[in-house]
Amino acid sequence: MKISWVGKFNLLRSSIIGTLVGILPGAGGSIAGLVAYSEARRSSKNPENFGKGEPAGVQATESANNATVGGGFIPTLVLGIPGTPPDAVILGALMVQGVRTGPDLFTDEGSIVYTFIYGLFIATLLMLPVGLVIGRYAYKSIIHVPKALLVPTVAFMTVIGTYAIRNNPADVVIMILLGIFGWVLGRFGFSASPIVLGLILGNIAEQGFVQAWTIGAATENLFGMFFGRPISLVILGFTVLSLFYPLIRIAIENFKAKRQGGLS
Amino acid sequence: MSNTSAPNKDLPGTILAFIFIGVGCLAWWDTFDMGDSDSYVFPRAVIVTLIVCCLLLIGRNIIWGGGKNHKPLDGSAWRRIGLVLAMLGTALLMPVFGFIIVGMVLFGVLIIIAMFEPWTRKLAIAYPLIGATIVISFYLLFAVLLNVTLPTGSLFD
Repeated sequence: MKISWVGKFNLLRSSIIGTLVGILPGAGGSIAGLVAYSEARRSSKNPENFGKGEPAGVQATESANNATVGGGFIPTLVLGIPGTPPDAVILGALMVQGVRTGPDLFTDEGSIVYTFIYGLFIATLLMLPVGLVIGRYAYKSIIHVPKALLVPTVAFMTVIGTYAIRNNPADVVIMILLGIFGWVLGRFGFSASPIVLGLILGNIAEQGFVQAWTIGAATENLFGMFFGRPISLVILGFTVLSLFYPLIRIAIENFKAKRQGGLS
Repeated sequence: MSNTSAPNKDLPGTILAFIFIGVGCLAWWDTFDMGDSDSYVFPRAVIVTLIVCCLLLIGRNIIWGGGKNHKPLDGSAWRRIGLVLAMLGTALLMPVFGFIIVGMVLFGVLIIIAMFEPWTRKLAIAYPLIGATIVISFYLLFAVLLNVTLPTGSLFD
């Protein structure tokens, strides 16, 4: 509890990341955890402690993971698009019961929506005693498992889990090769979270880009389609800003250093 | 001794940026098969962005430096190589020898690779038994409970 309070900003930021990632169709708790962890490490005063049991890292991944549940309900109930794999199961259960999801659900079947909202609220509250009691006695046992058993079990689970998706051994080879590629990139300072987010958002971005391009070409207003609205300009501005942020930061740091040098 | 050190030129980052430019060129060449502009406009836009970002990274590394200093590798390189080879071997041999045999061999090899403690008679008996139990449990879970078709092995068909 004390650690949670000390890292309240980390908790809040990670929860927001988790909620936003949860809204994205297909992106689940693991992706939210990766992004939140990366952000926590980036903003930490002791980034070198991450990966060695740093509480802020655990706090970031777990709060983001939990927050995806609430975020995932938004597209599930409003659009009928499951945000996370468990939401797909819930959506299936609702469809079996003859409940049609969509904006009308909130007015026509308010009791169902409020059941979800209150259910989620109670579940969140119950997480605290469950986490405190079971975490103290059960979860910690994982650190007592010898590495000689833990490593083969995890490796075996990755192999069988990848194989089970399409019953194809080639998928396992791809998983291993991508794992090596990810490790090499990580060693050279390339963060995993933008790559993972790119894989998830790539499809959505491509769909939107092609749609805008097709409409723009058909109406002979290609430039206006991308740059003619304030909202698209704002989004493009943020995109360019985030793209060039490392260069901007270096320029600011150099400027500060020169200024300090000049003053001294 | 001076505290100021030469700026880190981030050689690995520069090499990776060149590799990504190569990948981008390859992907651009692949877009020649796409007939209409609706199909190739997005991939080409992404490729251009990728190449521009790589050029910026290379330029930054050459002019200013500023990449991260890479720590030397912790742990054992041969254990890492062993892990990768064992997993690759599993993926390639599983269709031939079947899930259970290859799974047990993988588990055994990985126990040896990941063993940091000294071997005792008790561990030499207990760990393989635990490994076999885990492999069989996974087999029962996937093949029986979840109905996933696991490879039985072409050698035994």
